[in-house]
Amino acid sequence: MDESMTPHVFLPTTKDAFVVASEVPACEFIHVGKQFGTLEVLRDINLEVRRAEKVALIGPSGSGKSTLLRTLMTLETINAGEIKVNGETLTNGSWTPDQQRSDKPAARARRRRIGMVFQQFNLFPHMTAAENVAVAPRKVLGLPRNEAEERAQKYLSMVGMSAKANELPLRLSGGQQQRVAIARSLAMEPEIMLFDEVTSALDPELVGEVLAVLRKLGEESDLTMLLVTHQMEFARNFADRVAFLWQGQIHEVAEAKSIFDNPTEERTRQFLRAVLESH
Amino acid sequence: MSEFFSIDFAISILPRLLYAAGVTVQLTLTSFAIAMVVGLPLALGRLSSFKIVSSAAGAFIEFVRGTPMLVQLFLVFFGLPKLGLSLQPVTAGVLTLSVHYGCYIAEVYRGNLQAINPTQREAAWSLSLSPFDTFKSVLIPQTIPPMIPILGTYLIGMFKDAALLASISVFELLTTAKLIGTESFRYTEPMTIAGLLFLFMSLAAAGLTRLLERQWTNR
Repeated sequence: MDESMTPHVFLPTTKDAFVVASEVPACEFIHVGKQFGTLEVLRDINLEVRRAEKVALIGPSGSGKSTLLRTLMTLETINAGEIKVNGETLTNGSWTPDQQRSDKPAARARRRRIGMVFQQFNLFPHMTAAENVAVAPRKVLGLPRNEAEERAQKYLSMVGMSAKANELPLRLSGGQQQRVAIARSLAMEPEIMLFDEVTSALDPELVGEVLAVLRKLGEESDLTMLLVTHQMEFARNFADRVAFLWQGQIHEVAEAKSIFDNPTEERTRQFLRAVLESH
Repeated sequence: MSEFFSIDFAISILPRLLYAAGVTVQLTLTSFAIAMVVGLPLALGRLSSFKIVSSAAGAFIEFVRGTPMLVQLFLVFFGLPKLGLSLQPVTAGVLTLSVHYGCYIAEVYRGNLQAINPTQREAAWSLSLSPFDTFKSVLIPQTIPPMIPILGTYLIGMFKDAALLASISVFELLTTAKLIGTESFRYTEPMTIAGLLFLFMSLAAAGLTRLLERQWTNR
C-alpha cells in the first residue's frame, strides 16, 4: 500500500492538546432534574459553561435560578441527570442523597473548585472580617496562620475592605459584609464562583459597591462566574450569556446583548418587559 | 440550751460545716464538668440523622429527665452492684449527678445548635470546611454565649441537688448539718449555717456566670 494511502492519523500537537483541554467546559449540567416532593423545581436542565465565561441566570421568582446554583454548590441534591466540573462528575442524579452530599475528603476536594456568595452574606458573626476570610484557607488548605492571614489581607484589599479587617460583621454595612463574603470565597481560590442574588438584600445605595467588585473580578480574573440577578442592566453589560429560566426549565439562553434586544421566546419578552418597566 | 441561736455553738461547728461545704463544691464542680462533656454526645446523638441513634439518645434523655434523681441514685448505688459493678458512694453520686444534669445540658446544646441559622452551615459547606471544623470553628463558638446563663442556672441547681447524695451516705454539706443536729439536738445553728453556705455558693456561681457572659459578649 502506498504510504500516501494510509488513513490520516490525528496526532495532537501540544497546541491542539491545549485547545482540547481548554475546551472542557468549566461546568456542565446534563439533563438535570430536581424535585421538592412532588414539586418539580428543575426540569431537564442542559447548560455548558466555558472557562472564564460569565453566565447570568434571570427569570421570575420560583423559576429555579437559585436552586440551579445551589445544585452546583451541592447544597441541593438532584434527582436526575449529572453535573460535571472540569469534565469530572460532581454529582449524579442516580447517586443517593448521602453520596451527593458526601463530606468525604474526595467530595470536599471536588467542591473546593467552586465558591458561592449568598444573598444574606452568611458571614460567621463571631469572627472578624479577616478571620472570616482566613478560616477556610487555614482549616481546609492547611495554610499556616501567618500565610492564611496574608491571604486574607490580599483578598480583603481586592474587595476594598482592608481598613475593616479587624471588625466583626455586626459593625459593617450590608455592602461591606457582602464584599467580605466575596473575599472569603475568593480566598479558597476556586475556579467557579456562584453569586446568588448578592445585591438583593442591600439598600439601593450599597448595590453599586458590590457590583463594582464583581466587575473588577470579571476584568482582572479568569474566573468562571454564574450569577442569579435581578439587576438586568448589570447582567446585560457584565455577562457573556444570559439564561432565562421559566418554571424550572431553561427557556432561552443566548448572548447577553441579543437576549435583551431580541428575545426569541414570548415568555422571555414578557418577563423582560415586566422587569424593565418597573425600573 | 433553750436559746434560739447560740453563737458559740455555731462557731464550734463551723469548721465541720466548712469542710463539708468543700466536699459539696468539689462534688458539684466535678459532676458539672463531666455533665458538660456528657451532654455533647447526647445532643449530637439526638440530632443524628441515623434514626436508631437519635431514638436511643432521645429515649435515654427522656428517661433521665422524667424520673427523680433519687430513683436514679438508688439504681446506680444499690442496683449496679447486682450487675457486678459496685461503686463507692462518692463515685456513684458523681456519676448520677453528671448523667442527670448531662441530659438537661444535652437539651440546651441541642436547642442552641438548632437555633443557629442553617445558612451558617451552608456557608461552611461552600467553603469545604470539614464537618468537624464546621462544628468546632463555626457552630460551637456561636452556641456558647447564649448558653451561659442557662448553664449557670443548672450549676446552682446542682449545688442544691448534691444534698440528695446524703441518701447514699456521702457526707456533703446538708448531711453533715443534719448529723450535727441529731448529735446535739440543735438544728437551728447547723441548718442556718448550711443554708447560708449554699447561698454563698449559689451567689458565687451566679457571679461567675455573669463574668463569663460579659467576657463572651465583649469579644
